[in-house]
Amino acid sequence: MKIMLCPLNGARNINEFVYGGEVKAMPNHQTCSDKQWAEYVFYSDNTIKVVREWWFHSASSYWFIAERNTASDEIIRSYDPSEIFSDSVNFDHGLNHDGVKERDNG
Amino acid sequence: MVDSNRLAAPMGSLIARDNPITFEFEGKSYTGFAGDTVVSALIANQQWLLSRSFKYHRPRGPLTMAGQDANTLVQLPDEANVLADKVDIEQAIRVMGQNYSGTLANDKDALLEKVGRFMPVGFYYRAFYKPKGIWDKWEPIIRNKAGLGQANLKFKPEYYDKAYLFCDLIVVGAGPAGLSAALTAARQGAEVLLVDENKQVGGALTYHRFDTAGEVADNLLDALKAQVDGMANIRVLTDAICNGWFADNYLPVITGQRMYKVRAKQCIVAAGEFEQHVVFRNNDLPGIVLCSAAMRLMKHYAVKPGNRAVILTGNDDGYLTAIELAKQAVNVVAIVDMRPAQADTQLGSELIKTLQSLGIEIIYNATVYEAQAKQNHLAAVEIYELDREVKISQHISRIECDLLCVSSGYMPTYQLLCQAGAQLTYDDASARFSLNGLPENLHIAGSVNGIHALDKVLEDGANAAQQCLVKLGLADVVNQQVECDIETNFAWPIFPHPQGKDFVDFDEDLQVKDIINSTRLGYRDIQLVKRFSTVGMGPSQGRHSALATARLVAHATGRTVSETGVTTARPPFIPEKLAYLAGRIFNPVRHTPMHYRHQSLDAQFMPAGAWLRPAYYGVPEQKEMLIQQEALAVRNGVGIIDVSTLGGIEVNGPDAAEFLNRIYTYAFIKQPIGKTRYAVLTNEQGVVVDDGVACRIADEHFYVTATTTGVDAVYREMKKWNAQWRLDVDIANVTSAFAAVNVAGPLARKVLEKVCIDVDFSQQAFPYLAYREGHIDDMPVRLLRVGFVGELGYEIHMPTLFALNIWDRLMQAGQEFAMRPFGVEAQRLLRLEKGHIIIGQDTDGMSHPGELSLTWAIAKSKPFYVGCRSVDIVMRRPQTRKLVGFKLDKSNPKPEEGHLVLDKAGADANITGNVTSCHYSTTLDAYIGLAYVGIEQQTVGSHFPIRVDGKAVLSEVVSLPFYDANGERQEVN
Amino acid sequence: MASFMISAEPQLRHNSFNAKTIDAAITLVDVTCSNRIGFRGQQVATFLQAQGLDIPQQPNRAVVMNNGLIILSLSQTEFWLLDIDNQHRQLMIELETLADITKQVTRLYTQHSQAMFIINGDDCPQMFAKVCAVNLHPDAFESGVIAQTSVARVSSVVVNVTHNEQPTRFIILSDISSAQYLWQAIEDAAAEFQL
Repeated sequence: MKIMLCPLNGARNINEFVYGGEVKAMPNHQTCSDKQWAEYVFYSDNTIKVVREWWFHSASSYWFIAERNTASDEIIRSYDPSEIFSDSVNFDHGLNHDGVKERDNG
Repeated sequence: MVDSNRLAAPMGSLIARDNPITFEFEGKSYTGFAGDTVVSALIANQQWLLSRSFKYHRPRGPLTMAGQDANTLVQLPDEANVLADKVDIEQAIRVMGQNYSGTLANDKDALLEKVGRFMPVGFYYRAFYKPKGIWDKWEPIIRNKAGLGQANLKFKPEYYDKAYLFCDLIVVGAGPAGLSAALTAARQGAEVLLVDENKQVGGALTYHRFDTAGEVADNLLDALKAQVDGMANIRVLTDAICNGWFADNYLPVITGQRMYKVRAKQCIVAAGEFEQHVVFRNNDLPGIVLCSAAMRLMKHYAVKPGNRAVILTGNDDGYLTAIELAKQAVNVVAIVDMRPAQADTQLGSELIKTLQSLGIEIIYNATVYEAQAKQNHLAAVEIYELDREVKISQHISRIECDLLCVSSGYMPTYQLLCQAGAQLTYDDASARFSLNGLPENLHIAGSVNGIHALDKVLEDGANAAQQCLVKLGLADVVNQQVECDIETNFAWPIFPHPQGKDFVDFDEDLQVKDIINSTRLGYRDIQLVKRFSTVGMGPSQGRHSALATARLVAHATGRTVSETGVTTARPPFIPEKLAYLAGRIFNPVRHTPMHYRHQSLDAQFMPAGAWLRPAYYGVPEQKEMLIQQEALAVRNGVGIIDVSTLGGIEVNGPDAAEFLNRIYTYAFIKQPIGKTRYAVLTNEQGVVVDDGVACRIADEHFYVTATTTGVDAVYREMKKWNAQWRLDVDIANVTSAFAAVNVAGPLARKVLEKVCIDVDFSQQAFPYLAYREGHIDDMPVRLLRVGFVGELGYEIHMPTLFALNIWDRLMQAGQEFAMRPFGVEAQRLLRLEKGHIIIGQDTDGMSHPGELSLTWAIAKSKPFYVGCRSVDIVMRRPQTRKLVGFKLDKSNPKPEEGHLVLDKAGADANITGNVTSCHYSTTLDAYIGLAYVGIEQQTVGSHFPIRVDGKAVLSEVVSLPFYDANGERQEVN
Repeated sequence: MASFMISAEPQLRHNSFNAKTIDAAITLVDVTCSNRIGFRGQQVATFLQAQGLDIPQQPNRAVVMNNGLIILSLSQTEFWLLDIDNQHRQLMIELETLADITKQVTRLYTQHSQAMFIINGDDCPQMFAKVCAVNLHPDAFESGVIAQTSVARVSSVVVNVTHNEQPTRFIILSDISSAQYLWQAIEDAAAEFQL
């Protein structure tokens, strides 16, 4: 049974966790097209790469992000969401509300 | 008791000669010694016939003496399909054979062999189905014939359990390589787990002859055993099988009545190899064994395997076996060596000299082409010469014998390693499969790694351990790899006979032509050959057929053996009793604090998630009546229901209202303190997934209820959202911190006033939908005036450790009003009468707020709530269905949940919806329910058909609620 | 509404499950009704330290104070106080009252949402291996360490409070609604070790 690295609790059996889907940036729900919205809700990439995923440790109710290679299934590292979500998100009319820091490419 | 077949000590390392044990096989009494397996004791008594083969019912005896073949499957009273060469006679007092009709010695089903030509490979795919309906006649016959043993349906389950085991290094296999590895690692401080499937450690050292004199193995074994015993950080598990490899070195080890779930940082598989047979006519007769089987019989059990022996070999191990047999006074008539004469093998000249001194003839370039039987046992072999292309040529001789020991080479024990992703590649020159591509932290050592010379085996084990030590941080350098050039495998030990019965797979009775014919029918891929012919699908799972099949299929399809390969290895390695997987099962159960009170009130419990809730109180025979009575008690007097299972979430902080505003569809920013609001939750797809009531306790403090089975997911999602939004808010799942009851009915206020004296319960002070706090006997409580059952009602939420006292207090106070406890069933009925939907009952995976008439609960002016954009999109589309209330006279057949709603009553009707709830209501004296109907069918007063047991039943659409439309009973105003 | 004190009325607390003390090689005692309080928020560490409490410096650690109070850190921002011998009720009431008016300190309901057992005996790690996937042997789980994990398939907090050379001592906290089930599961796992 696979081992998942939890930033708070250390290495644990994967059945202590709930998978939360890929980290996806929500488009502006007020200005995007219906198609863009539907793709955000229903689609996920299905390519060989390192993905960022949400994982929840059930016993401690702790959400974190893990980077995993979809081909080798290796967990590369995991970290607290505050690493990429640092500012609070506002939903005021017209403003962009994506608080996610983009990963460096390269 | 005939036991003249026992050899003198030091033979018999596993038996205790001072402890005889009597047992039965096939109704006949036999005596053996403690430590004997069923097979060894039977063979000591010259009983070789153990079973009948699967398809042709051929007589079978042991092949491996190691539980690696299926010939030894026998029936115990409580267990079918037990390997007789693995079970001790102490545990097996009454043994029977399997799979025969009549007697084991005289199986009437052996006649099937005569019609074997009508049962070619895969024949069942093309028979038994024509003419139409004939399968019903065939099936019982085939069922009767299929399978091997019988299950004892009266068997009482025993206590099996599981336990985790942690170690730095697990070594699978305690032969010389495994022992060497374990010692090397332990000496450097690693915590080692050493696992072996046998009763003793030593592996091949306990039965194999490594030198002509036969001294090396015993001396080395004693030394290694003593060293292992002296190491406190080596834990040894014998009689233990590592039954699979799972991610990150997670290994199930089954032993006794326990499955150990081992998590090892490093893993070394030193599990050895499977000796392989030779394919010739009648190669499956009792009396034909692998060389290692003969050695085990002698060394482990002190059993003389026969009187006149022939050895058929493709390597030097056959020679060493001959020497041992001769030493034990077996007349070894000849060694038939498939290889040409060679003087320069490792042991070559010394071996030959020893055999010459023993008077044993060696016939080179030859093979057994046919074996012959007398009374179900080997009686003679026909020896033929092999030409340069390893094909049968001249007949050489016929030798009478009662024992044929065979070894054509070895197949590594690849299963665990291939499960881990390793690849098998075949080297044509050495005619061997080898393993590579192992994942990190998994290593192999010893013969499974192709190393055979004993000193190199020890070194290979130590090297593997050294690699592990480096990974564990207990050492710095790895050693040089070892090489071994001993040739063990004969490249083509397959001699098909025109009359067949030249078995490739003993379990499935598959002959050479069966494999070849599969490829001729177009099944060329090894995976297809397997599935078409069933090769490798029997209990031994290809241990002896994979190698031969790979060679045959490669040759037949013009590919290399490496390209052909073997089929996928999957756990379990050996057959795994369901008891290992099932025991000890953990099924959490959740109780409310009042659980034992409900029990004393004769509650009939029902599951709600992991919780147990009273469905109703009383005897099941009166169920319907009791439910109606409970509901009427609420309508006419007062009832009390335990709703502790209800989910509860606390949201605290400056952004509490903003947070709830974004999660639920309704508006919360301006919710007044001391008031409750209905909270509907949609997911990102716009589907309604949960509901509850939000109480505003303070500006920055909300208490929100949720459904019993939904709250954990709601809480999880809330935390995920806030991990992104970073609002200043604390979210807590307090479901278990608060117990709750609902006291409902016209007399509810009177009951509450008696117990909670610091709250003003008057209509003005405590209106409908208000939230208050107070005390019952100094214990703090939260009070909500909600109306799900359509009567005056109060929900009391109390901290769990006070709940039992408060329940008792309420029950006492309610006595004068004849307050009646009611359960989930009555509550469902009452809620339905009030038209309240139950999430998950009246909603499905597509239900959006419009279909549920919940658009009033959407605050359209707020900038965001979860799923808002999706709700907008689905609401803009033409709607297809609507959830409506319906009513029909009780003289009709009763519609049930799931019954389909049609667009019309005729034959060509289409489905437009389905019933989600339906109950008989005493209050209304009719059937009432909720159903999805087509969008054109929703008009109040119109009728729509429901298909009930094939008939269309018309129901009338009525407006909701069915009862107390003005809310007077609830004192809404 | 500060009147709602969950630390109140300890004498009226009642755990509704059957958990009769087991006194054998592995001892099992139910202490669910003893005083207990938890706090979560960005300011909690500061808040508790200001009260003179000795809090752990990293998550998943426990400190046993000289006065018997046990302080657990379940994360950077969540701390629980355990008062097994019921000596510190007044302190808890004060903390609960103060928390109500302190920003970024939220009082938790652990008094009522958790059951709590104390398990004594050197066979504890081996016994736990039958119900828990985390290695609780001394070399992997030292005194003062906390494991938040699943025990017999229910989420639990396991604390090693072994003192010096004394027999192994664990505290386990788990959801109170499955307390009866967990008690029975541990009792069953311990049976093999009991004298």
